Amino acid sequence: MAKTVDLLQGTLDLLILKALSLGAMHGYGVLLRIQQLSDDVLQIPQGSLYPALYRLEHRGWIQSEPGTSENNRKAKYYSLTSLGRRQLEDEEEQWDRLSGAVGLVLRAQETSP
Amino acid sequence: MIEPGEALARFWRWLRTSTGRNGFESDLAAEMQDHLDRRADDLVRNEGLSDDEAARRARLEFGSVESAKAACRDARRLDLFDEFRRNLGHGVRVLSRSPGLSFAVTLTLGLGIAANIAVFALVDAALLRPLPYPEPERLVLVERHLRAEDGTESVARYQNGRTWQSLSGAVDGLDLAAISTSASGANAVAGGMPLYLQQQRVGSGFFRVVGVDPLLGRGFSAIEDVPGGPAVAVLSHGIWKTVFGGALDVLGKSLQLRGEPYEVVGVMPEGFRTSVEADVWTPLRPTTTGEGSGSNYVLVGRLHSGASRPAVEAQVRAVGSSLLNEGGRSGTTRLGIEELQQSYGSDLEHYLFVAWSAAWLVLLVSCINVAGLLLAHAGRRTREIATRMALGGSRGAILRQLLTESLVLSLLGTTAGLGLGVVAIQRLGRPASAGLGFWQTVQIDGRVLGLCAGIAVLAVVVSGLLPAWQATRIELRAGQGSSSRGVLGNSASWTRRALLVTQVAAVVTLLSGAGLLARSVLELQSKDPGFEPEGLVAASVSLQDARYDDAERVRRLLETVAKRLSAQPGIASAGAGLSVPYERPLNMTFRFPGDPEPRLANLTYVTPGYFETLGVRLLQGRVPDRRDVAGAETVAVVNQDFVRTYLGGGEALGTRIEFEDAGYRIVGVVADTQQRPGWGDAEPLGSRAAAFVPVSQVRGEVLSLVHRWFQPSWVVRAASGVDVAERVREALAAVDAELPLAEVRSLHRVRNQALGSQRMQALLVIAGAVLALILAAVGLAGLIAASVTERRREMGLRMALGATSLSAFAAVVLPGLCLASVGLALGLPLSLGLVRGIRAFLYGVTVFDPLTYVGVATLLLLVAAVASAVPATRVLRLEPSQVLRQE
Repeated sequence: MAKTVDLLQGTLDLLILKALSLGAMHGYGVLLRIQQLSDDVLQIPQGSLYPALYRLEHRGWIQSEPGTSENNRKAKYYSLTSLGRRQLEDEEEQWDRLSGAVGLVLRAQETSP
Repeated sequence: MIEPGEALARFWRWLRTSTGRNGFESDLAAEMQDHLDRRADDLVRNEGLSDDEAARRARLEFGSVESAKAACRDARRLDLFDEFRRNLGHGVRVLSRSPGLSFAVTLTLGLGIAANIAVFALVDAALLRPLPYPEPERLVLVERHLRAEDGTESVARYQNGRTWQSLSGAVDGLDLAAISTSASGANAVAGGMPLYLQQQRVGSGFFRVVGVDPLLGRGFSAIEDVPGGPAVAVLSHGIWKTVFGGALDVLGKSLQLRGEPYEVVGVMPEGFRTSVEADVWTPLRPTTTGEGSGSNYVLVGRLHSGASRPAVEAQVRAVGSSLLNEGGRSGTTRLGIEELQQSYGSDLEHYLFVAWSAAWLVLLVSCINVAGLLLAHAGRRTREIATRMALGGSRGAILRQLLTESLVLSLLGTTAGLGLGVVAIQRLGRPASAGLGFWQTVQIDGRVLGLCAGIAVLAVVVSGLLPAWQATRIELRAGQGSSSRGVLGNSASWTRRALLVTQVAAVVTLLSGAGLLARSVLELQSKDPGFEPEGLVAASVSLQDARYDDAERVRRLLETVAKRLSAQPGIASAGAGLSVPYERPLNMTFRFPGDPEPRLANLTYVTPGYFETLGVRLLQGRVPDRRDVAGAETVAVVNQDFVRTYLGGGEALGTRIEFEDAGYRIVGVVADTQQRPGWGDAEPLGSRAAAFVPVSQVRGEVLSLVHRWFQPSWVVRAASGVDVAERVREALAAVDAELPLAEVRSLHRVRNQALGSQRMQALLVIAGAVLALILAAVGLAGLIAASVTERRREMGLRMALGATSLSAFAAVVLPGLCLASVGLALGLPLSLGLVRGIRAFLYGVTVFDPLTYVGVATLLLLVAAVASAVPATRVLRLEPSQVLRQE
């Protein structure tokens, strides 16, 4: 099993939005998609996935509707709303700025006195 | 930052999940299970685990399903809803612990809301809701503005035949029609079935003007709308359905109206109405003589699209000035136009304003009471609240809980108010719309319900927010550690005191208004009606019948029946006349010989015995008797007002007057009798200049004109226990078996009805005032009771130190009286300012009537004394030693 990384607070929302931007999916699918996309590096605690989905839906960023998955199983499908798409863009931009800044800090060389 | 739209959407999602709670829970459970199943399937497929083992692993990886569910619920803020439900239950329990007060508050809040709903439904029908015709804003009414010598202006909506003739077709951009707005009961026969219908006469083009096409057939043509024109009728939808069975071939069928066959030419669509609810419409047949010589027509017009109102008005005014000032008078009268709804509404605005103000005051007082009640509740619960806050309960949560209680109360009140309001509108809506001349029905609609909801919200906020805010604010200070009696801080009782003073001031205002209105009604009732209403019965008959177009036949019918009646045992006397007191009399123009100026007076024909039976006092000369036959000298009797108005109070006997080119010599003067109350009249029970002539000396053409919309009555003075209706029916049947009686009324009842609207108005305000007074008394008693509890220890100490229980009693009661006095002192000037608004409804009293204010003050202080003394008696039973030991 590959080495896994704990999620930073607040990144889960961003990852869910990103995963859903690739297409509507049920909860378990979101989980699998994030793991696949991160080459199994990111492990999302399964119990915290649903509260996050509910929170995002309450904020109007994602919406849900009943659908059927493979082998005719009923499931609740989540998809991104236009509001969520805008939110995703904002958060991606913020993430880029944050990771860039963190990277700058970490790459700093010790200056000789 | 959340945008308002998004906030609303979130609230909506919250409400949907909160209310569809079962669905939410089962969906949530299904979703979790689905996740576990999928994970287990993957584990079976990828890692080759057994089904059972896979399910176990899946659950293990997921962690606690229950805490995940709880987190999902939190994500949706469902905790708020659960809290609300808990609060609701708690609120209901708390309120059911004091059922008496809860009931009183519900009732008063309900009455306040019901009064608001009922009055608003009237306001809505009169002023706000567009009239039920296409483009109602283009409908106008011709108005006549009269300026009296003292500069006051009045507006008349009734015009005479000459005004109609001059305006008809003379104004560009205005489609005008004349109508009579009084429906009259008519005997009818359709398909062999005898009926009593309400008939309204409307001129040709009226249906076109209001913009409603007949459902079947047509309206009236100009050829039909002339005196002596063909007898045609348009049916209401209701009559078409009930009498003609909704038959499509109804056109051309015959309907007998007042003994004359009318051809049905049209049927109006369902729901069509004018300012009266008529069953059948017939052509107006306007004239310039008879009916048309007086102001009896209402001119309704529709502005053409694109016509400018000022241009149309200028034309109307021009026609008016050439017409009205022919007689030499100038500048005192002019014609104008006004939007139809506005014209009728302007009369009512004032009345509705007063009624609405009273309704709002009652509502305010009941809201204050709810606030006082909740404040007291919160005060008693300060320890509970303090504990909750100490344990980490948020202020918001406590605020929400207290607000929920007022929500429960206001919901109860709103429900009660809606129920009472619906009943009131159902019972009073029809008579009110008929009595006030509305052009549409009074009904509960979206607007009324909207207002009701608005009031409910307002009631929650007004009654709940202050106590809730107070309770949580106090807490900050309670945390600082206060003594046993200081938990309910001074500021809370100051708030209660301020509320009470406001309440008392509102009550004083209501009481003053109620007192003045009551005095007015008493004053009106005690006025001399000018006749003896006790034991008097009037029986009317419709003589718009082809067989009675001859004066001699009318005279013979009226006199023979009257004579037969007076011969009956138990009947003192009987007579007949065109109208009786309180009825709308015939208004006609007359002239003094040699003077071209037309003047207006009410004209009534009478038979011998009319004045004697009514008990009208003869002041001078004589009343008509058997000498006054056709062919003899034509004579008239006038009333005092006639002498005052037209003869300057001088000698009347011997003066000659001309009605319809027939001269009459005045041979007698009688006392004034009260007449029909009318909106816009100076007084509800005034009397106007009137002339009375013998029926035998009126020409046949005039009689048949007049009988089109007036029904003569027999007046009978009988001993109690005599069935007058039956006696009149017998006597009438003996003379003319085919003529049915229209209506039999006791004049005592008619007299009471004449003051009905004044009495109703006064009663409403009095009921509101009494309710408000009771509420204020309850509030005061509650406040004193609370202060007795608070000051137990102080009182115990005082009494231990030698104060008598009487002085302790006074120390508790006096603040109550002080508060009431402050409220009174604020309320009296307030009422003096506000009751000016009802000046128009006062008769015989001024707004400064000292008796009323002294009465109000006395009543209020008396009630305040009782309300303070009752809870204060507990002080008298105080045992000092016991109190001191307790602390």
